[in-house]
Amino acid sequence: MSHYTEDELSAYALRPDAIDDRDAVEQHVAACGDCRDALDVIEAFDTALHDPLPWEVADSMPARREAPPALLDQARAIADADARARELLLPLVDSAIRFREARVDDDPRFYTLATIRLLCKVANGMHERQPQFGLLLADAALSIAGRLPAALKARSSWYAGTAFKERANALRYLGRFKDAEEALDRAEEAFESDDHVEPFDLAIVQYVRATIYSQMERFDDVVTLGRSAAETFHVYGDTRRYLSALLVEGLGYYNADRDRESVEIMERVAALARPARETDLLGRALWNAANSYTRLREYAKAKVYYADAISVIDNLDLPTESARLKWSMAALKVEQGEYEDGLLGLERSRVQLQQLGMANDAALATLDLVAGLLAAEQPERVPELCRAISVTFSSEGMMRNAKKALAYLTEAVTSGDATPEAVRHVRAFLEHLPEHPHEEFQQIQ
Amino acid sequence: MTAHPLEAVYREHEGLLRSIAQFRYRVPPCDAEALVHDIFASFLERQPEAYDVKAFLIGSINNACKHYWRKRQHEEPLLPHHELTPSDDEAAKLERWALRLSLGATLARLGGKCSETLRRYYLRDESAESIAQELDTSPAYIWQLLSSCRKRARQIYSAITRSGS
Repeated sequence: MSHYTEDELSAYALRPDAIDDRDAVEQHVAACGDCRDALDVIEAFDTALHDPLPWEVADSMPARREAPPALLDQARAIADADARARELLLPLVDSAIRFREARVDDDPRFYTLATIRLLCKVANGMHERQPQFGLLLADAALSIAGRLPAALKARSSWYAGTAFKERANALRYLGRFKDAEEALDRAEEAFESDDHVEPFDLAIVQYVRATIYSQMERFDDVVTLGRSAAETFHVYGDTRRYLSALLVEGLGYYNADRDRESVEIMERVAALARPARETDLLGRALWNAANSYTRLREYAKAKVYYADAISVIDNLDLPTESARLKWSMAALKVEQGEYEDGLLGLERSRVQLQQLGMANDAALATLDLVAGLLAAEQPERVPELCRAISVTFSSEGMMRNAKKALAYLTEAVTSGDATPEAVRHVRAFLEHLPEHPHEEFQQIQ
Repeated sequence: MTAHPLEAVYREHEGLLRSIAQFRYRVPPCDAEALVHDIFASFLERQPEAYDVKAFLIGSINNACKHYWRKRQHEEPLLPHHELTPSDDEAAKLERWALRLSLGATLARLGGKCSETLRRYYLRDESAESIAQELDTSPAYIWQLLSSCRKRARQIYSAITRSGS
């Protein structure tokens, strides 16, 4: 179908009576969605020109203004201070030992707002790789904030808030959730005491708090905070943070076993993330939607979402995520009774997870395979697979509990009493052990 | 002295931010100017990691205007759009406002003849014939002018809304 050009549609919108082939245009537009959309845009624009407000606005801004000299002076002073802070700090922050030895918080050369700003920025990029160093940097920023000269101290609330926020971020990565929560309280207080309170800053605090509460299993709070942060990020046009906060809200629902609410949010995130090209968020949203549909036993939808998530994640070149996703897809197939494909997928996944060094995930995938083989009445390889299972946990107590669970499984397999339910019971215990390290293993009744 | 990045950001967005303060929130012009100045000063100092600078500044001026009226709530009644809690609904309203203001910025950039012709035809509801008569020209010329000026306006508007400028 050939389409009308924008000029032709614009001429029609302006003066339909003057168009020679008016009927042809109208017939085409009625049948062609693209041309209808283009005409809608043109007509909406023409309609908007009737609104007096844009004309009033136009009259009030006859020419673009240049930045006033005072603001430019401030910009240059900040740029100079930033350059000075970089010169002093950057040679020190490539090593935690060197940074610690430099004792920057005892040196008045570092007592500037620019230093705090830079320390917080470096800390922000450090948490994921070296959270302990991130904490050191954030604490140095806080210490400097407390030692600023009086004139700077009066303007330092926002800086202290940012440093507390980075301290909380570091503590979150270190698993010190109570301390992180306390740091966030302090961050909030500091931001709120500033002359210019920016809800954007408070929304970031809410977002970090939501992620911490997720670890602390306070899922109702996760939902409330995630939603609130998302709304603020939306107002500030920050699509990436908006979608990230929505994801957190959706995960809050998922973890609270409210899959309907979760899937609704995940589908919304996926729909917004795709055109915004936020591919990693798209992949996570599709994956989470698939997980919820699996729990809702809507397997057809789950399959579609897993397949879509796999293609997105594969394009991102994230081998560990890709391996986990394929494992989920294979487990779903087994759950649906598609044993041939599903068991083959689980076999591949456990090997792949092992090769990626993800020993505990490989153990869980092996247990999925064992449960699947038992359900498919193919128990021949089960003893061999069970013997190969090994898990690693950080504490002695967790290792003891894990070994107890695996011993129970080995005994059941040896005696020929193992059932898919018993295997899943052991699997569920091992999966949740890191979140409940003191829980004793109980045999299935 | 080299140009500071602020100069370009200020030139692009100052008018829009001032319009939001003046027209959406009815902040008096001189106070609106001060609020915009504060927004830029804070933006400079805090250096937020804003993925979309224009949207961030709009969010910031909206908040500053609400704060401005909260401080004066004994002088002026708070209007519904001065509410404190953001919501998706408010975000949609803000977006509509931003689009109206972007159209204002478009018309400001359009230039004398185009702007005047569109104003007479759309805002004052004058016919092409009466505009032609007054300008001592033919109606066909006015139709042609309307057509090309609308196209030009759409192009400017599209550039403003797409690039965040």
